[in-house]
Amino acid sequence: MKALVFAEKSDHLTRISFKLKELGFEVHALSFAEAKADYLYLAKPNFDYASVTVAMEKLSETVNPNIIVFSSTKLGKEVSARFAQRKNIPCITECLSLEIEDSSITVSRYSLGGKTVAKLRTSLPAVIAVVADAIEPAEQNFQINVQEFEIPEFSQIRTVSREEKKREAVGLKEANVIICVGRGLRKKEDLELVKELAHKLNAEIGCTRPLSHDYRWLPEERMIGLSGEKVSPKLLISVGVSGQIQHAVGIINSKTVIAINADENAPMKEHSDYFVLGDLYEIIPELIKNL
Amino acid sequence: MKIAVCVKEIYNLEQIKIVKETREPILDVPKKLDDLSKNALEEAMKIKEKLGGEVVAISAGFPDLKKTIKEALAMGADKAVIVTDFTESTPESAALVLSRLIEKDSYDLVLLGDASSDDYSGQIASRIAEILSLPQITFVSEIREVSDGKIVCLRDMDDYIEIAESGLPCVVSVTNEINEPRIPALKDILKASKKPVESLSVKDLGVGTTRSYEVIENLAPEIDRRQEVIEGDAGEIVKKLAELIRREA
Repeated sequence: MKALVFAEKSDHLTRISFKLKELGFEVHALSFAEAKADYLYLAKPNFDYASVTVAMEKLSETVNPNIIVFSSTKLGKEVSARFAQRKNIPCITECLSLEIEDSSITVSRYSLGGKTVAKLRTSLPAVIAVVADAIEPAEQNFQINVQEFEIPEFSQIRTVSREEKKREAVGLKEANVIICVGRGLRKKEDLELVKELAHKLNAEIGCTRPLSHDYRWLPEERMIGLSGEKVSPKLLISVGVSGQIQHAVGIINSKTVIAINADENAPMKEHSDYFVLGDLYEIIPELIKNL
Repeated sequence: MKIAVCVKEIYNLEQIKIVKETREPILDVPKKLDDLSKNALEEAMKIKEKLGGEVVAISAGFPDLKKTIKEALAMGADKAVIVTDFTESTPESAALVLSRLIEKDSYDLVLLGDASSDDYSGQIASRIAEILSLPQITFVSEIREVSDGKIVCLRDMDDYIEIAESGLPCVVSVTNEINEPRIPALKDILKASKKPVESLSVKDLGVGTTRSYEVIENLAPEIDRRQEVIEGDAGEIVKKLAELIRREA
């Protein structure tokens, strides 16, 4: 069986290739940089959905794949749906795991806003968009056959400008201790309190989506959750976090979770080992003195 | 400017409870208009307020959509065109039904949320654009400029920010950061029930809906935390907490 893959990030591409090889596929991949695959079609970076869709269509005609796999990034989702619509085959995005059985594939993905995990089965050929960070494949060996490939220009829209987001290097993934703040924090200035605690514990600071994306108090790369970082510290101290499932899936792999929350009915309770019921503005200053 | 806004009715997710023993969700909860649909509607209303024109809410769902769609009309949509017997929903069937509804009229702009808060599949914009042979600008966090025949948008992608421009008509999907949807006043809610709603069936549109995948299971993940509550006197709490942190860090 053959797989055709596209991911604009080469680390995503390699992870997906490992997984597909593990499942027994011969992996053909369109890539913007060196990555692992049996057959690598190396092209100049092109972030235009229409051009990438046409490129994948062309490759699919020559490769004749049983499965077409994308990284479930924004560009990946945009292209996967467009490609599937054109080919009139099923498409499932945001997949967290893949299993192959005869000529069908079973994937898991969050459903009902993250309250549940659904297992879906569809027949091949199909388009699958995979959350690259969610799969944990074993490393595989490839005799990489590289060919240059030119992505045809098929833009339907004009890109006026494109600017890389400025990223702050954040060590959330490697951190031993993380303090994660949520909407219980009343104003941006109060972050100083959290920083002081983080300093005492040599901890990294993470946050929920509203703090990074709506209020912009902290950079996006500190966001923990479904659409952000998935962390696995020894200790995670959750401060004023309600515990919506979209956030909670990001902390599932923490060894111990301590939550400080004023609402005894907060969903965060079931995601904590220790649920400290109280006002963070009373507790944290005292805690800092006691550590 | 004539704008079609595709909106989706979803379960009120916060009210969904899980059966402890089986981990199954209990779906007997009220439905509501998805928040991301409201972001798309809000953006349409802003354009209408500036340029004039008409905003039409387009949707496909269960029979109770007739009630839910009033939320869109209360927010300011001039009318609604809906299908109320759409029960086998997959991204491809939803996109096809919505496209047929859009095709019934001619629009300058099709707006929708970049995904829905329940499934987060994010396929509808691309699929509608493909079916209707239109360009698409997805994940838009700001509409910079819109005029007769042209739209300029800021796109918020994973690692980059992009300014993209397209001719009209065009399909534009918006992120939840684009705006703060208005909350309708009582008079708007009362007015909504007088606005026209064209209600059709899947059969009227001549499309069959098929299920392209099978749902094998849909269960809440197992969470295995101690859930030990620490409460009481603030001084005591802090002492315990400090001890815990020293032990676990």
